[in-house]
Amino acid sequence: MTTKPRLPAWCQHLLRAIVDLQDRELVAGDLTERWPEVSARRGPRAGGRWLRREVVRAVWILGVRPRVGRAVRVVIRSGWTADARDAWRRLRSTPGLTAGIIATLSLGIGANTAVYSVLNHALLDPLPYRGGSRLAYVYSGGDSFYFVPTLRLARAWRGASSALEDLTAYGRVRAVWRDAFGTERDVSAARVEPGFFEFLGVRPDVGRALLPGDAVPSDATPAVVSRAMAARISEDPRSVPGQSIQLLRHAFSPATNETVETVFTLTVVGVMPAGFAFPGNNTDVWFPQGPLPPETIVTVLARLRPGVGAHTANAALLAAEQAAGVRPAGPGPIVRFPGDILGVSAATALWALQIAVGLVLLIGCVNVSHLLMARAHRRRAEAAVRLAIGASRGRLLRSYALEAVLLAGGAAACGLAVGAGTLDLFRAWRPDRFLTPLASTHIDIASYAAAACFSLTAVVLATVVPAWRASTADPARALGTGTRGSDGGSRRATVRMRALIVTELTLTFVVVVSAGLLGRSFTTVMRRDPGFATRNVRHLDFRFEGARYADLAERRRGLSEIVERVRALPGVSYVSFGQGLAPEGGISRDRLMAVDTGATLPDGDATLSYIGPNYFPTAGIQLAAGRSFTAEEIRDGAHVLAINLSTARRLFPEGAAIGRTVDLVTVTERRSTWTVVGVAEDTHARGLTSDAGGLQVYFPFRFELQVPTLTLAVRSEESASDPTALVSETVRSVAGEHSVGQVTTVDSLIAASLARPRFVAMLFGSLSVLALVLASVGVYGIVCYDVARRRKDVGVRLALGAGRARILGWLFGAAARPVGLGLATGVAASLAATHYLSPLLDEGSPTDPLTFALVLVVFAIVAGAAVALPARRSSRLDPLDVLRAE
Amino acid sequence: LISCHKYKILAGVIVRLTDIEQLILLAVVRLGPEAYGVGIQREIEERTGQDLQFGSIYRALRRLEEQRLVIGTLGEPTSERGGRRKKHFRLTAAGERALRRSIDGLQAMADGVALRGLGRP
Repeated sequence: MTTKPRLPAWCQHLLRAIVDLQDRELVAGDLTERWPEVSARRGPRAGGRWLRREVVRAVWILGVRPRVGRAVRVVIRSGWTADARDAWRRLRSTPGLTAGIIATLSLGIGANTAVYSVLNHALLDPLPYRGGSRLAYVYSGGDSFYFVPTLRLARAWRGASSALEDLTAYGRVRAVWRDAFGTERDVSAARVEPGFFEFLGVRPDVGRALLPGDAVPSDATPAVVSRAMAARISEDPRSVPGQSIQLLRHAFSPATNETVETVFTLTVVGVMPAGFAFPGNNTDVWFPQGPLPPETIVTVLARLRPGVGAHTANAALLAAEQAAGVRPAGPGPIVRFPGDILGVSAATALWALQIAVGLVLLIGCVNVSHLLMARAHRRRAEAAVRLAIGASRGRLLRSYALEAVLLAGGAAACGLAVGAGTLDLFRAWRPDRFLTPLASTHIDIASYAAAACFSLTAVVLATVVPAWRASTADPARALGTGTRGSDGGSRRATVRMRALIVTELTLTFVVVVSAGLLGRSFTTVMRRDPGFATRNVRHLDFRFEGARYADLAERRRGLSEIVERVRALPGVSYVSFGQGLAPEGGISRDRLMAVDTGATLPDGDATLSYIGPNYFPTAGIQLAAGRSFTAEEIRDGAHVLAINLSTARRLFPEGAAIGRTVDLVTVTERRSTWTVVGVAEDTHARGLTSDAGGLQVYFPFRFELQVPTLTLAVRSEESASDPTALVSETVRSVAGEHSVGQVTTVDSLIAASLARPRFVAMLFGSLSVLALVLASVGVYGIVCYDVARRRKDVGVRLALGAGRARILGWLFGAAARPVGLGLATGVAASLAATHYLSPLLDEGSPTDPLTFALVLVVFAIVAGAAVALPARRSSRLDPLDVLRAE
Repeated sequence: LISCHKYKILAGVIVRLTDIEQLILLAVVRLGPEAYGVGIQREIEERTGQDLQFGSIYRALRRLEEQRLVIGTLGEPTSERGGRRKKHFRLTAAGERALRRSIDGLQAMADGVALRGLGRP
């Protein structure tokens, strides 16, 4: 007697999910028949597992999957797709409106995305290494100036372990790499601590990183190279470890105040992954720094402990300095996160841009909302008919919402394209000195999504809310008033119209005034007299090549030969040489004090140039008193110097600077005495945006101080042809085949110094044009709609004998009042807002009355036209036509 | 709704069998009158070691039925199945043709291929 086989209850319960009854019966029957057999063969536990697996699989294949398929078919049949098609047809029936809305929104979304992406990347993005958001540079300095510290300080800062998790010091070295064939190429190298890679949390692709033992000086110092460098050394990067490379370095030693050329032989031990080139973005070689004098200047990167802010870290670093007894003069160490390094005005520029572009999106949304609301008003009759013939309200709203989603989706897609295009434009306009990381900026998805969601919300609200109101209204009334009648809440519509006009004009006014102020500041700066000649002056950077120029006397002889031969070239009127020549003046880190008056120039504030004989006439700088340096003074390294008028006034307030002596105190506290022999007129020595009244010191060019390259300044005659080729050829013939670097005109250097303000002014200018166009189109649309709403009134008035001028005045007045109000609030808002722009304004006040007046005039004209055109058209109506149409 | 498979049959499109379909058709041929769910599963497991679940088997059989490659007939309820019926399957002429083509294709591909263990007597 066998018991009737049965499946467990859970199993029968689950099998009910199988859709097809016959399938259910067959599977249940099969399981009932097979389960005892499987259990007997494999044991009860395995049998249970088998049953579970069979049931789950059967339910999934025969129960769940068919249901999902059916649900999809239900959705398709339930009318969603039909509604979407319907929405699509309606959008296509008004192509102009659809295109206008999509264009407006996509411009707004695109501009927003691009600017936010730049902002995120340049200001907010941390370094992409271990503990990135806690990585910060440490400087020694104050609020307005900060300096890279010395190794001595870096060592002392290690004591601040309460605030710092870790710290690494490194220096960047420009070196020349001599490859296996003897060809010399410039490479960027970094002198790092052995723990550098571990600090950043990166490891080499091939070979090993630097080890603590590597810092010991040896004949073949281990080094790590970049992937790009490895490719230059050998075709197969895997074969690079073990090879040796030769680097030539011109190292400036602060201890001896001399530049020495040293040849390094490095043995490659590792190759970094492609894309890693920190510090900077083109470092090719990393080698251990070995024992260095404590005065060596280094860059310090620290990883703060979690939760430690800049203030706490500053205090801890100061305490560590004091504890180590190496506290230098000045306000103390300062922690700066990578984003802050841009400096105040670049950050202000980006924030201002962000706000401006946000306003543009807002203006766009206001426009679009109005257009959609006006359309919804025209569609009241359609909605009433659909409701009357039995459409449910939900279905009606769904159809409108789908339309809004289609519109916003189209705008979002176009916005992404506009954003990518704008970002490309940014990159093309990018002034190098402004934002180097811009080159690698990519679209910031979060900001794009935010802008797109904002637009979507605006569009959906502006579509669905009026549709909801229309669906609750009395259909008979909606049908009765037709499409042109004044809407029920005429007063409300008027208030809404006015509010829209006022909002739009206020926002636009702020953007346009900001652009105007920046543009005016920029053009004023551009017209500044630099104080030196810009036309026909060329700067040629070069360096002496080869072993024979290691000798000081040989370099001196080579330089005088170059100067003589270049001066003899046709068309060349003056030749000089030097370093830190205007408009690329260096920054002095030394302190200068008048011996007899005791007046001191603040360190780090003066512009520094090392110049050869005849520099002033070559550069076109006027001497106010005294003379240039003579060739003998330069040859002998005489302790003479020249200063500009502002410096003379600061050091010798009582007058007559010529012949007076000053003390120069270097960072390493070495003191020397110098005699003033010349006073030059003030110049914008660090570019046109720099202060002409700044302090400037000219030293005689010193060969001992020679850093890798020096600059040859050549001034040619007005009518002469470009001597660049001849000059380069001459320099090459003396200094070596690969000696000539960059050749630039002073004009182009000036243009480069204006790149940042130009970038900001251009961006603001294009944003303001965009805002102005959007706002004028918006105001025009609003007034057109308002005038159309009043057609019946116009017709009645005309029929009753009102004159056309009177009608025109009435319509114009109705629209002009909110325009006037909008302009007034615009002026008020701008006065409050432009104050924040002042760090960006090199010239002019943030409340410049001329700019405000000009912008007001432009707005009056644009808004006047936007109001007058529809009013004029309406006043010319034939009253009979109007009334008949009703 | 006529399924896609039926269109293919009507249009004379050559049906390609999947691995599972091939196995199931072969099992149906082997089992003759005993070709129903449990028999098919057991046969495939014993001969190939493949553990096909009933869900997969019935889905494949449903497809084969739609393609008119097999015909199923319901039998009488039995007590060993808890009073449920069996469904017996047999091949149609089209099913035989499809299976023949499929096996011929496989054999043609395997011919002359030297693999360890293949072609062993």
